[in-house]
Amino acid sequence: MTNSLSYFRDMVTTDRRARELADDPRRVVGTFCNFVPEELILAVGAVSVRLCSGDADAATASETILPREVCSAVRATAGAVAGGAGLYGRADLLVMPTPCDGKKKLGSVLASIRPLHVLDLPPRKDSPGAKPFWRQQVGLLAERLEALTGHRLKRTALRAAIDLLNRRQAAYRRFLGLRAQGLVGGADGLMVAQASFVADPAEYTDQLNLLCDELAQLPTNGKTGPRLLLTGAPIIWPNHKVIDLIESAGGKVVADELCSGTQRLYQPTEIRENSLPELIGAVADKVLLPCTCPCFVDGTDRMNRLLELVDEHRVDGVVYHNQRLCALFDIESMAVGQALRDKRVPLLALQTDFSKEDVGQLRNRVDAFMEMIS
Amino acid sequence: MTVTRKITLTRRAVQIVCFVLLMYGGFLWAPVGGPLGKIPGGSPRTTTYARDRILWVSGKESVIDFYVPFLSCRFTAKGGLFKSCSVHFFSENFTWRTSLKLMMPHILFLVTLMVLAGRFWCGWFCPLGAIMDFMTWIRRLAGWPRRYLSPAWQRFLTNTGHVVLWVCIAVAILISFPFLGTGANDSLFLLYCQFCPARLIYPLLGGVNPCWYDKTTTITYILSWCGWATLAVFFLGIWFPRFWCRVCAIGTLSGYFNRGSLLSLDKKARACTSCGTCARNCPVDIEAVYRDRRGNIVTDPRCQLCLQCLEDCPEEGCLEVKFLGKRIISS
Repeated sequence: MTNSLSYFRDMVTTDRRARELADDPRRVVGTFCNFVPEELILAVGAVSVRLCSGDADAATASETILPREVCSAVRATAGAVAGGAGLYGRADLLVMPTPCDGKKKLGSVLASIRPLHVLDLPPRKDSPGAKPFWRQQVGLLAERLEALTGHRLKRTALRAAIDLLNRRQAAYRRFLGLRAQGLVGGADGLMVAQASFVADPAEYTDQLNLLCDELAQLPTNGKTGPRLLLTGAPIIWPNHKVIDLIESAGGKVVADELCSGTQRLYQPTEIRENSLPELIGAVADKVLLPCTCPCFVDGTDRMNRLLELVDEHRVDGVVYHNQRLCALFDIESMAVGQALRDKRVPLLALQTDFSKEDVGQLRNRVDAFMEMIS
Repeated sequence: MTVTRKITLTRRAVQIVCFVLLMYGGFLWAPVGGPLGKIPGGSPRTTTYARDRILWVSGKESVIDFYVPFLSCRFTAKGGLFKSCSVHFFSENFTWRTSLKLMMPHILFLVTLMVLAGRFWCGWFCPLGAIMDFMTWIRRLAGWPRRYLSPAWQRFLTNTGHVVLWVCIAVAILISFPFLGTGANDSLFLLYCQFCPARLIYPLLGGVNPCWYDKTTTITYILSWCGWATLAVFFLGIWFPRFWCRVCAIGTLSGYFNRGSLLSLDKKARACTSCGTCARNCPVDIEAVYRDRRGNIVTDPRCQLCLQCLEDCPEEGCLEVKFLGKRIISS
């Protein structure tokens, strides 16, 4: 098993991809969040890498450019881009969406360090003006990418990119099914998803299918610990302490709703039309409409998604990962808590950041929760 | 395409078979009907023969003596497979004052089909719909963009369909009264047929002249020009998928049965991720399936159950087709 996982581990924990891309003539576009349609980047012949950082040291290093009272995810990303190591130094263009205040201002801070394109998000996903606005924004991004690479965005190339990422998505859904059977640990599951941040999509898809083939051979363990659903703010490598705590307490993360996990690869682009504007519209829809980020006014989709995951995976409890200083996830945890209470699903809400200081305290809470539900 | 779309493949096969049978059924099997105009056993007054003469271009009755709730046309070459469409049935028999007893089997047949499956017939069986799907296919191959109708235009076209349907039926009843004289009857008999694009296209496909100009009266001459206009509208279907379906009176009539028909499109709202795939791939711009957040039956009166939404829906079990509450197929 470790054999097939090594590719994903290399992608996440080593500078293998940075070395691969060091001599690559193609442009490299660094993205943040899930709102940047990768298909566009691939279609103009550039390389897409998602550069959200979970590095506590990078967060500390950002102190010269950002105040301390900003969430760790934003600070870590700022520190990593400013540091410019590996892929952070290789990116020819950064694309920063504007889901929250932190990301908005991060965009303006980083613009002085590297070429940066701001991708404006509508505050609501389906208000009357949202669709034309968002398509216009994605169109502007496409123009910027064309200017960067010097390649025209062609419908055949975009269709090929959509098909490629649909294959990746199909492989990932297969992987999710195997994870739900408890064949993969939570940290490994997160690692597989996050390998896609930087990995070449075609190679990644092949490797993921190989991994799935291998996992499918394994016997399903009969009785594991409590089955858990993980939701809340993104958990980004190497900051997977919450998952480690859950697993060391005997729990099993069988599903997640994280933008750094399942959400990243879950959605296919289904479009029958074949013209360039339709294809761009479809990839624009894909990244926006099913997104369950609490940055949008209405949280119904997220609530539905969570309740559906609870049922689908027959989970015994939900762990809500609150990022310290992220008001959005914090505010929505109230409504999520209420919805889960109505369904009598136990909920553990944790508040933490990238530092290791609170591990002891978190461990106590996680252990108590596991005891309660098992 | 990386995905195989089994439902669409099946539908295309059904559409092609239906197209061939309905369009060329008259060539394949000998028609059963008697002399011209004896439909369905009622006896038309002699004056209607004058107006009915466009029938002469086909010169035959149909193979099967029944009307169907989609565009099967009486003016098809050699009569076609079925007698005609539902609107044609009501138009001619109300005008002829066919007795209820004679009409009953036909009404029962039509209503049964519509109660069974609503507008499903439009999506899977209608040859005119198949022609529009063919135009869409060509456009996609060429990579031309699809055009979208604003909600106001959609409402306008749907409402036009209602108005046209009821005006045509009202006119059919009105001209049956003798006090209006034979002039009205000559001019307005089979009002819908006079400008229906199928009445022009179907004979052409069978290699006969569809009667481009009906010079019986000034009104029929004007209506002939309306036929040219609707033919032009029909070819908007190149840019707007299934454009004519939005105004089609036959579809509008079936649409009244859509919501309560035994075949229904159901949604499990909680499984929906709001990805918008259903709305984006709907040929007739139905947003109701995407917008619905309560679940259960989401069959829209305009829905033709082409099931592209169900086929493309990435969520397992989110959309499903039920017949009498029993699941037939699901996403």
